[in-house]
Amino acid sequence: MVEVNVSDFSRSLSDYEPIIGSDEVKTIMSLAERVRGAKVIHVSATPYGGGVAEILKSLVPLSRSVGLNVKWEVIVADPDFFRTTKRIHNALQGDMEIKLTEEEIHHYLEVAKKNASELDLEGDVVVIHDPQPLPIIKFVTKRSSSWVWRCHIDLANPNPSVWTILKPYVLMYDALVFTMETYVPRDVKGPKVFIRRPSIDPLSPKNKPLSPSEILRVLNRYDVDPDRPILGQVSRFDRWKDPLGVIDTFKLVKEKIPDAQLVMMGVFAYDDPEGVKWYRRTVKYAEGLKDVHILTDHDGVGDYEVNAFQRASTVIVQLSIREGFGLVVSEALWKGTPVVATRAGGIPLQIIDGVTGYLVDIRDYITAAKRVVELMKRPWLARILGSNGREHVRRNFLITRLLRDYLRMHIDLVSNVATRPQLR
Amino acid sequence: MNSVSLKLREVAEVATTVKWNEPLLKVLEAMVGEGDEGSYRVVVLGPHNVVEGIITGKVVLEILAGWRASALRLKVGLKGLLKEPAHVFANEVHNVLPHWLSLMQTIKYMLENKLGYVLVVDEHTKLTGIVEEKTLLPYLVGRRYGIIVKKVMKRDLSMISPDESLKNALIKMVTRMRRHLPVVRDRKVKGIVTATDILSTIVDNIDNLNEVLNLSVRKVMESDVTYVAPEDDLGVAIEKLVKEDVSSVLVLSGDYVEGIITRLDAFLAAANILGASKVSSIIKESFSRSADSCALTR
Repeated sequence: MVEVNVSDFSRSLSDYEPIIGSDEVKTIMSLAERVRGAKVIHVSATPYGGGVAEILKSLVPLSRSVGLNVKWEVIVADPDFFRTTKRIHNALQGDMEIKLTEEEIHHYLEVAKKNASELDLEGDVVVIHDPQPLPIIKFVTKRSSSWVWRCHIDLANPNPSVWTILKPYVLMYDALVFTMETYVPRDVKGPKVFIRRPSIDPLSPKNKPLSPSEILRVLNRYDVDPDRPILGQVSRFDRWKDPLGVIDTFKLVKEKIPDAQLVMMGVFAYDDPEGVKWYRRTVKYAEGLKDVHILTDHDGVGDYEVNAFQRASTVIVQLSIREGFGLVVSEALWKGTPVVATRAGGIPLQIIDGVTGYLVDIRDYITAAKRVVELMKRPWLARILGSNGREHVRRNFLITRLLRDYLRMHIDLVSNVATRPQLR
Repeated sequence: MNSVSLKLREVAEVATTVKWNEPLLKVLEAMVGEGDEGSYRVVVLGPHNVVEGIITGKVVLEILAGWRASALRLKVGLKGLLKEPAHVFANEVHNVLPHWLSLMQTIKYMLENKLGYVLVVDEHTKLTGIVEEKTLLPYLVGRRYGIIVKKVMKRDLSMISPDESLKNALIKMVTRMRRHLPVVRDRKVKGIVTATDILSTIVDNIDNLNEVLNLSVRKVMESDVTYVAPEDDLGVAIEKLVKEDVSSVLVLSGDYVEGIITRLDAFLAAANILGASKVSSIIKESFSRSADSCALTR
């Protein structure tokens, strides 16, 4: 069992008051009072890399700051397990070719069983994130808490052979949380369904304000010219993020703006065994192309560096083929950087086309490049879209909204709030 | 005509609101309203009119069905639940747009995300209004869209028999995420029951809730259904939705239910065909005409 230490990210709700206002703080505290002391356990597959870890790094300390007793645990598993769960992930996202072997299914369940016995799952609410730890619920002998499965991926059109294996475990949960209504599989009937959008933390190391000198230092460290236009992309190395399409787009941009640079940043999450393969493919695909920087955590890229590059970029692209939500779009917009992105997952909610950025069809690299060039050539336009983007995120996608959503869900699920001793 | 699109501040309607600390019962009353004043969407406002969330009829049905707030219900009972502050039950809104945004961009945004409404706020993020399919659809009446109803309707229906209880209707609506249930016997249509019908009945009989939930669907349903034929043009469905002021029309082949078209289905389909720019200019022309006629009257 691994409990993630989030003490580095400690902050309190009052820190957010200058951004969200005192009224919102007041109503959040009023909700939190109702579930003060409730023990909530989040279980995920990885402590870093990807949107889930990103959210939990902020949500866990913030929930603690309003009086909840929150833990975040990460499952222990071997590379074979993660190879299988990556295949499950791909199948659920719509890869119809995948068929799990008996051996894979057996190992998937064995790991769940082992984690069920080793994790601390005694609380008021247990929130299991994504398919990796999904079957743990089957192996828990004593279930006093409410169990929630938070599915961050789109299950609208899953591979039926894999979905059939997973569905019985999904139906064992008290509640399911999806990002969009359209992601809920039609044949899921029984558990409560909540629709909850993810959000960004404006005070996290990835999003907090940086000074120009801090940004310059990061650019210099990675040999990126601060005086030339930068096209940025932040994503795991994954086929669904279409990294090769980003390079194709950059080639087209380069024809019009020869001094443009491309910076692609990604982190290798250990639950993603395909990351290295896709990284290598991306590097190979970019061979011979000037001004391409492909950077990872192995090069020392972390939240701080991503923050600096998102701020320094002239334009950010996100050309995903499939997306859970695409929170990286809100991250860039929060920094006032305009985004050109595909109509995938929750991206169209974050981008008001022509107002906070531009939407393009999936795999339409020509239009994507055209939009990037437009924004590079017209700094005034980039500035307006970026500024609109920041306000759109402030109104709709800040972490305090997610905290409120979770508090309401806990109020919904925690039955013994009346008798709960006050911690204060 | 000036080609600049209308701004949201010019077209947003007054939203139905409650304060965050007002009781849930007040939300129900606002939904049912008096005459035609009820609203399926009630915006929950924070202390200084900042949007705290939204409660839709669907959420209230979930609460009444014991699907939502079940833990709190155990503690305070259903009547106690109705006294709890509204913001406990609200959902966050992630489609809050600034009042300076053009109607054309907003319609595009609604189409991209299949949204039935957006909330409009001023520069201090205070609520100034709502733009919803219900108020946009009337501008699209009187056209032919060149697409038949069959291509637009929902086929995945949940139906109910007239003899079943309101409680069953409630559960069907909640578990199958539907607001409208065609009422059928031997597959033949007998009426329609909507979320609003159930809410109105409950609010009118709030002190006898259990009895109300045991009422048969027949007692609450609308037997004079509004319907179209599968081969009718989408424009016919829009006309009926607007002129008869209903939130859905059934698609019937003889007495048999083939599908249903809601206001949202019709709005999205029509706006997709026309394009956001065209819809926006139709609305603008209509605004200009009414401004002219006001000027003439003066």
